Amino acid sequence: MTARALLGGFWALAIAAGPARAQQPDCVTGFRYVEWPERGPLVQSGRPLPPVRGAEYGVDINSRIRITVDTTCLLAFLDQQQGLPNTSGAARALAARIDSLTAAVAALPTAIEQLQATFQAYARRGPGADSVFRARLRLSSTTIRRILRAVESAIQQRLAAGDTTRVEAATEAREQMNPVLSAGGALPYDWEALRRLMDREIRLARADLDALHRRARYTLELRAHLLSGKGQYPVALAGYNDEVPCAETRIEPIELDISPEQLALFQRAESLETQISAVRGIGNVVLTSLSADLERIRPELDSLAARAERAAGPVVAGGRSLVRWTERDVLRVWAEGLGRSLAQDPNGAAVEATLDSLASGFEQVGADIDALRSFASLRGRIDAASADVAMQLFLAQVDQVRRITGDEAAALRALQPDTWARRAELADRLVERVNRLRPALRDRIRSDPNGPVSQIVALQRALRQAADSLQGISQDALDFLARLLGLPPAFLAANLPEPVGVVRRPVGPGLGTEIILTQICAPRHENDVVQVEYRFFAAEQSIGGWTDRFRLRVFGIRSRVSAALAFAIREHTDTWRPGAAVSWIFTKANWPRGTDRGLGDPAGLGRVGVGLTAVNLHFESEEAIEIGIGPTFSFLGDRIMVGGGYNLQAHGDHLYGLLSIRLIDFARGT
Amino acid sequence: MRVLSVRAGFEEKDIESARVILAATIHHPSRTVMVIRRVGPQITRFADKAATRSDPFPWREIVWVTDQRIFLSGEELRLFGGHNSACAVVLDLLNEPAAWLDPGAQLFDIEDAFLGAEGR
Repeated sequence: MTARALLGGFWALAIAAGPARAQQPDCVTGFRYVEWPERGPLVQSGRPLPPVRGAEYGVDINSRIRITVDTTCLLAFLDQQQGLPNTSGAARALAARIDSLTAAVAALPTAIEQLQATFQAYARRGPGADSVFRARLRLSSTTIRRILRAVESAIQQRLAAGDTTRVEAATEAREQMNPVLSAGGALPYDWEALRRLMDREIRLARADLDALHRRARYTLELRAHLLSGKGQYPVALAGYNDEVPCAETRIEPIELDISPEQLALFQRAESLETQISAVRGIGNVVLTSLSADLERIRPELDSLAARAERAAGPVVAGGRSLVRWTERDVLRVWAEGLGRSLAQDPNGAAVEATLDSLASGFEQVGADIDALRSFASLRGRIDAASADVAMQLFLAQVDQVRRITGDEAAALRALQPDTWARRAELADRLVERVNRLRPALRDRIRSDPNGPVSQIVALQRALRQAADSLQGISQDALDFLARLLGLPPAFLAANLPEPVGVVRRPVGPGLGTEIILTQICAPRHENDVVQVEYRFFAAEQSIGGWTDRFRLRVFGIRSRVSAALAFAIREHTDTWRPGAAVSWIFTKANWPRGTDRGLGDPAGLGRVGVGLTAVNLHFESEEAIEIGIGPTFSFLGDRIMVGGGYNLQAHGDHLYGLLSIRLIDFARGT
Repeated sequence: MRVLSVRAGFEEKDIESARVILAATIHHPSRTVMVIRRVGPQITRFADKAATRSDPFPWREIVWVTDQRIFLSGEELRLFGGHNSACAVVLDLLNEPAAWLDPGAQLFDIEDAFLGAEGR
């Protein structure tokens, strides 16, 4: 590729930057996060998190997360969301002008260098050197011309937007370029004058853009919650709510004591070890361990299936009218057919934007309906089953949903009333925006037998019914299912407690704030989620928003003390005996860098640890106290531990092997 | 700037020498050339502006043809084509007309014309 082609590409990008602004990596949302960990290699520099709307990041459990706002970027995004043609058209033009000028400023040093190179090539020209001079001249002239044209065009656009006529604006803009072009003497250009002009135009364009947005009266509410297995808690956000931060509590990465939760699990393991006699074969060890643990949760399974069945009936029946519009791209294709007509209507862009949101919002409806159907079919089958069979049926059903839908979250998402309520809101918004169109187009869309609007009432009814009927499913049951599926608590974030004194702030400078994880007024655990929800308003009307999530992790070297039901096999025997065990396991998770969002392997399935396990043994007699201790390797995020040890109290055959399966902590979902 | 004119009584000689200069300037392999035609106060002001944008660059050359008889037959048409109101043409490095300018052109227009021709 020639330098000319490269330069052409650069300018093509710069010119296209305006309309594509929302897609620029730095301008995805206007919000930027920087994590400030309290230890590790990024403690001095901080860790900028890659900007993605609706993203999940892994952050260290003791970090601060600084939120900064690029107002211009945010306003461009909001304009796009709101889809008001006049505002967005003018704003897009201003944003494009700013981008074009910014690109020109950035290209200025290159232009100066290229011109110097052209002068040098001219001075050296002679036989065979003319071609070098010509190539350099072509390059420098192209660059400079584009810079000058960008500035002149920006001035002209600004003047034309005022009271000046087009012709006067063109003349005036060219005159304003004179200081750059009449540097005098041997100076080809007055670069400083050019820089001043560009700075001035950028400043004026930004001011115009701000004024434009002030008219749109955008406001923002920001909420943050800690979502943990224990519950959901509002988080203090300076400037956005009146929640009072709590005293700082650090989570030590090196855990030495057994936590109250693990102590409770240890006691449960002790009670299980008295119920289970010795077992033979390693497969039986695993099955016995799981069955004993699952018996405790049988009531939860029954309750969930019954509620799912009651809820699914009306949703599946009412959902028929949805199915056609949930098929791939049907809604988008229909919307594209209207493109030209909508473009000619002053409110057409808003309808187009809503159709786009609707198409995105409906993408998962098919999967959710499949999931509901699947849960509805479970009820009769698990009544008479044992706990472990019921659980297997349940997990098989979930696995089937995953395979059919290709969607990990469908099983749980479908059961949440909010999922359906949000879709109903989108349908409402479409009706409201179609009503704002000119009568001819409005009636055409309303009565189009091939379009969704004629069926919108049935659509809304089905969605509302879905939301209403699912209200019967308890949050506890959803919590349980989510934990069973290993999903993050973020999927359960419905009906969150409202933070005290939520403030709605005008979109403008000074919107930044900070989440201090160590000052959250609730116990934090690894894999808990801090959810940040953005809600935007234009003139008091909600225009949507998004949610970002921070999964709390422990990076670097850490240790964990966990309780488990272990099975030990003594040397020279073939029976495995149960015993309550405590393991002290060391693992390591690398600090994320660059574009790594830090989620890595949140479930820890690939994590291998090493440590020590102490176990209650019963080799000599059931009553005797026997303690074994020995090295252990942990797999699947400490879920399975394998090792061996030395029985401190045995009279002979001190050595034993150990297989330990960590008990499910239903309170934390781990 | 080269100003090519024809003195009374020396028409033949002046035209001949002016044609040689014009041809040599136009055919210089490393020059961007602006050819100005016609005379008058507005053309003079234009020529001043053009010189402002030409002087700092050693590869830019201006030739002001004050007498149309200097052009060879058909040459003016080749250079200016149908741009009747144009008082100047900028030629690229291959001697092809690249931009035409009216007497009212400003510094920006002149610079833009030079850069356009040089960037071809």
